Amino acid sequence: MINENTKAKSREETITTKKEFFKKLKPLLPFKVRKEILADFEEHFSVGEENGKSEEEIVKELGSAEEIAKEYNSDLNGERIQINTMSSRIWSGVGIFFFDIFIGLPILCAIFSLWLSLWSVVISIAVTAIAIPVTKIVFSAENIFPWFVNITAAISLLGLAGALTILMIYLSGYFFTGMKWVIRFHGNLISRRVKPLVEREDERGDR
Amino acid sequence: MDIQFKKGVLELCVLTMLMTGDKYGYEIAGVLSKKVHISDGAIYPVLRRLKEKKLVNIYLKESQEGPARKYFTLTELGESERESLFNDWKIIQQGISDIMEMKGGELL
Repeated sequence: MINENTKAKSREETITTKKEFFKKLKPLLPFKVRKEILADFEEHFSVGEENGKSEEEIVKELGSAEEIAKEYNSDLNGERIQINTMSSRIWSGVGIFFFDIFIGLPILCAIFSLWLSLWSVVISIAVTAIAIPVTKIVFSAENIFPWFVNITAAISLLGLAGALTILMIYLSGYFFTGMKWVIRFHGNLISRRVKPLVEREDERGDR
Repeated sequence: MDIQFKKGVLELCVLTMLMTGDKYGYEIAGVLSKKVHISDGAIYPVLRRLKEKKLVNIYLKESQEGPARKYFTLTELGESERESLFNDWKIIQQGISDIMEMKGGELL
């Protein structure tokens, strides 16, 4: 066993013990199958030792822990590409078509009209904000409020319009992301190969 | 080497080795590392993949010394997959050696 001081010196130092090998490999493995994989390597070590090999030899022959982990992880990614059969594609296609017509489309229309009316509110607030000074100065129209009330009202309405514009841009962004997701989902249903809708979260963080 | 190609070749090697009898991981790793110069660790992902594709089955068997070992045995699917991989391999191998032995563009 290597003592703690040597180990602490450099992280890049070559691994020579079983303990170090496991410590390095474990966090790199896909979380779901980690235990099984580690059991395989436990067995490898114990058989190796029965055959009179030292831990150091076994570790050396196993090769880099990163490379091993990479293999397992690339297999897991491959697994996630699912293949649809012809009949499931047809039935999904028919199903999603009716779903879209009777549920998807009305929802989309509702969201679109809501989006449109919210933009009209924002625009009308902005127009009012601009109209107050314009009517006052350019057309010198009289109103019952003193000048400072007019200015205050114009500035606050302009601010409100600005803030609402930013909010609407965010909402539009969410809406488009949602639409992209829906379109991708449609594609997955009727295409042969299924692509993940959401990228896999990295499970390596768990230690 | 192309990673897919390497994976396929290693799978063929393992499936072929299992034709002569069930083996455990360490045995397979020992032969492959000696013959095709891969590190022992590279074989375990291959074995796992074969299991996932249902080309091999696993069973545990006690050994005289130490804990039980995981033995790998060929399934029917594995046998037919081995055959088709072997045919692919023969074609590729023949093609490659033809190209390697080509003199003065005689294949063109």
